[in-house]
Amino acid sequence: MPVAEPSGEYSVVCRVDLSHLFSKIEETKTLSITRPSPDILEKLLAKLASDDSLTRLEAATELGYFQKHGDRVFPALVESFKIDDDNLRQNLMYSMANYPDQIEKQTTFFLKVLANKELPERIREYSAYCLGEHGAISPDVEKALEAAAANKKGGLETYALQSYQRRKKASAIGD
Amino acid sequence: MLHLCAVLALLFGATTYPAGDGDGTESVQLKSIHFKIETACGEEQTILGRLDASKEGGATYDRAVLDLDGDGTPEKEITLKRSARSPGTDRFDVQLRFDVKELNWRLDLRGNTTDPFKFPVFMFWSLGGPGGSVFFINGKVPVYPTAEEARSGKAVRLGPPFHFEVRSSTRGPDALVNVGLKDVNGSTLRTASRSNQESVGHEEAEISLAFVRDGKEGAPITAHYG
Repeated sequence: MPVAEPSGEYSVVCRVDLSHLFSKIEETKTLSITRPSPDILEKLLAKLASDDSLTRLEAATELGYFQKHGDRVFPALVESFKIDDDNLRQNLMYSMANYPDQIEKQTTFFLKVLANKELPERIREYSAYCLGEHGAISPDVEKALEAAAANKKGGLETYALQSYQRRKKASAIGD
Repeated sequence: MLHLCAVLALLFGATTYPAGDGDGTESVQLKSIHFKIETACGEEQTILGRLDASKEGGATYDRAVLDLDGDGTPEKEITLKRSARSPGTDRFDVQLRFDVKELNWRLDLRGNTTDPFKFPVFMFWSLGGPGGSVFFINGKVPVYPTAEEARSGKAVRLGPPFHFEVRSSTRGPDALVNVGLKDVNGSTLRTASRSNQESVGHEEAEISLAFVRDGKEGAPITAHYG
């Protein structure tokens, strides 16, 4: 779980009650915390443009966790999509999907990727998955997923449509 | 040569079956796997066990024989409920269930059929009783080619002692702390639930962690298992 403590060594007490079968267990341990550097966001954004594909990939994944900086991170993820690297593109979409406050922009982006027949099938398929799991509940999304699922029965697009329909139903119940 | 294989099979308790597609062009010695279990809930018990392939033509372990009181006479023979040999691989995945009074033990073993003593045999174990249950994952089981070696060797111990492991990592801008309860086999507590006496159902037994500052404990944080 995330903790607010600054970098340093701490004494912590851990407990669990297994007395229903064994006993209560308690231990004091030493924990060393190292916080990310204050400029971690800048470093990761710079790494997105690295010549090394693994560095770009790791940065793309890590950038999925800066929810307080969505307005800054999301455009950088979209911009990096131009790099012709399908592993990177998949990780970028995965991270984009982690920003609930960018849902309209996500949805628009994923719909464009799904419709772009010049992109590899794997990338379009993954964009369908992201739409199904995270996209806005809207007639455009539903129509796009229905068309994609009809085009390739039993694939990830079918799963994406089912996932969307489940979310649509759940959001109607919640209303 | 055939006579020698039969003698070796008798000596080492191994069973010879056709390999792979069963077309009979090749024989594989499916070696019996011996192990020792220590159960430690209330009264401690030592159980000697063996995995076998029960039928001729079988290419995986589908029978377990347990000596529940360690006197050398097997009391319990189990046809294994889940015995899978993933097609095209040499893995086995078996589940042993045995009861001791009101306690329901379960031990899942996963290993390699071709050379079960070269590669680790991994295990999951769980215990259920009137008070509730626990489930531990990803430990290792010491295994042996003979009953004598299992008897004198290290046991897989289902129960205490337990210890906590804590570690810190980073994710995005955050520092994370992960805490897990481990047993001596290296397994990690995955779930634990208590029977709720007041109502039907169970409540989760949660791991908590509290920072100590100036000799005083802070408010406990509930951790996720593992």
